[in-house]
Amino acid sequence: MWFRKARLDRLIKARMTGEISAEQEAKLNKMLQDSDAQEKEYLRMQELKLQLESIRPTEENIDVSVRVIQKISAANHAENPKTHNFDVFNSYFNPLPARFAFVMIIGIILGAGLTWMVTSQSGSVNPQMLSGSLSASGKQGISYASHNTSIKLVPYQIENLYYLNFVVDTRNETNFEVFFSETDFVMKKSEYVTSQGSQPLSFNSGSVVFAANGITSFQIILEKVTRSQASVTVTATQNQNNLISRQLFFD
Amino acid sequence: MKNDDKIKDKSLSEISSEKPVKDDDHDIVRRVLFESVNVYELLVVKYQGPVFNLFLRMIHDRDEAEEMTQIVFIKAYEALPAFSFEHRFFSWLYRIAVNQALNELKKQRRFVDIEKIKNISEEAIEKDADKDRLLQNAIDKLKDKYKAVIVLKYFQQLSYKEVAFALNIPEKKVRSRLYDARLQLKEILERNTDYF
Repeated sequence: MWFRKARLDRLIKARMTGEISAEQEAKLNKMLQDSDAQEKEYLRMQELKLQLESIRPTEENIDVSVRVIQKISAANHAENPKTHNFDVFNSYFNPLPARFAFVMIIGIILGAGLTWMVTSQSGSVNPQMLSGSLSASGKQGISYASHNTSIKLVPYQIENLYYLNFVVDTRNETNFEVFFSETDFVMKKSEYVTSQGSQPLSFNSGSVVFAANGITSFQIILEKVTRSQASVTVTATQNQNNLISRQLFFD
Repeated sequence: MKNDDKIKDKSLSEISSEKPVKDDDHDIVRRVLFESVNVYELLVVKYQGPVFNLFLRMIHDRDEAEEMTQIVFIKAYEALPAFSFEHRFFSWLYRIAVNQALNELKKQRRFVDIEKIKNISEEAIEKDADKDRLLQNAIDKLKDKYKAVIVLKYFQQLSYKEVAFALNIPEKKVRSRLYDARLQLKEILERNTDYF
């Protein structure tokens, strides 16, 4: 009896894993026809499989992105992974005073270059270079998540420059409008860092309009030209439904 | 049955490790490696949901699952220089997450109260519970390796190829293990409940 049960189990397994031969298939059908109990076993396995296949994937949302980036930045001291290997550096810049002098010279050159870029009026600021060297330390921002859209705005400030970095992941086209007063801010730059497909982008006096579809990263750089508190208003809409409408204040 | 599975898996056949796959995430990975850590946020935002839900399903503790999710993304970032562009980033991340989940379960088991184990084995027959809940409870009683394969296949709805990659076992073994898991589920349900 146990032998017959073991053989039946083997045949059912072969059928359900798709590895049954024609001969085994015939044998299994015969065994199932001959015994109600064995047929019941088989039907139970089938029922269980169907029940499992009808499970809907779980979709609970969380947002750990800022914490993850902060932890990585803290651990790396804002270094890029590609700079981990210092073997060449160590072998060529020994002893220690030579290394120290080298670091000082590079620091002065980089500092001068960055100062020139930030203070230059030619609009040649390299936003990726600047944002890449910063840690995620936005004082205020926007975080929005729904089942098909997540939006994150992380503002950074360097002196009087305000970097508004939008990171969007959405299945539906989402339109953004950013308003500011031209007496408070001068727009230095506004561009897609990452986007899927070509996305529209328009500027008017005191506003930037852009769209996100799929994973999109967008950056706006505003120079604050007033000493008093100023604000930027961000709105996001999807199919003319308002998702976000938020006013951010900058001292 | 096998043919259905094959059709389902066909679009993901490129996951095979022999040839490079086209994956939109690869560009982001390159940018993380060569430009800025901040770009990594795109990948975190994209996959934190599935990874969190995997942990939630495996360890049933929301705070723990959130913590584990962060750890996985940090581990993945640290291992990114070793990432092989022959694989999808998502599959590779899942492999890290599954290992993390199994290690966590192993660690938790060392501290499980003996009384608790006793209670599980002597659990009263659950007659009133609905089928879904009975099934969920039965899944929680499976051994980790069976639980993992059930969660990945049915709750996370990965293909056989993706499950195989995540668990680092051959696809054939996935099918076999899934069957064994269902068989054990059936036995648990028959023994402790009036599911059937």
